Amino acid sequence: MSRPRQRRALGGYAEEVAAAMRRRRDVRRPRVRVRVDHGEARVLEEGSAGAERLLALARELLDEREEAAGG
Amino acid sequence: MAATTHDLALGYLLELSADIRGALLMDRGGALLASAGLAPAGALADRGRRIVREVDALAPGGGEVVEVDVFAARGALFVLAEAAHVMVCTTNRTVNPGLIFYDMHAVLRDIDRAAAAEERRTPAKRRAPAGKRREAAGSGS
Repeated sequence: MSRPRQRRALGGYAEEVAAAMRRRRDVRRPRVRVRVDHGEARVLEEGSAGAERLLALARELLDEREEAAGG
Repeated sequence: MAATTHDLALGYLLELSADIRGALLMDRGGALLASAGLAPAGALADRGRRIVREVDALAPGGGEVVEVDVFAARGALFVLAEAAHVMVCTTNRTVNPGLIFYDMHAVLRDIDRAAAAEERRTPAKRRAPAGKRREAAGSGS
């Protein structure tokens, strides 16, 4: 009778690993967050025009910074 | 060339936070006022204008406090628009956005306070010196 319990335990472990990987991927995913007038922050939809423009600007300035640092 | 108040403020911001690697300061119209830690290229002015345009699109009313943080693969970009200025900072990815905005708010408030004090001083300078005012008052009586 210990098999189902063991399978459940393994399933729980696998789910935890998958969740950790999902969280890690989410943290590394590019994102744009906006807060207007000290209100609640909202994340701009991935792939939206505004988010893409801001991401492009961020990449340009970060490259600029690396060039300035001589990297 | 002598450093302006804006240059000094950005220099102070970079000293205040070791995570902030580069910074830009624009007015709300998009004109570049100062930069620190970034290449002094003409392209910076254009990027500054584009950032201000994006901020205006996010808060079309204008004059509101707008905070934007952008996390890209190679680092993060923070934008803060408050009162008459828009400040931009670049950092690495492993930063606490709340702390970065805290430092940006502190420096931006100092800049706005200094600008307000300068405005208050300017009309006083334009007034006639005290001696001449006294002479004018004496001749009138």
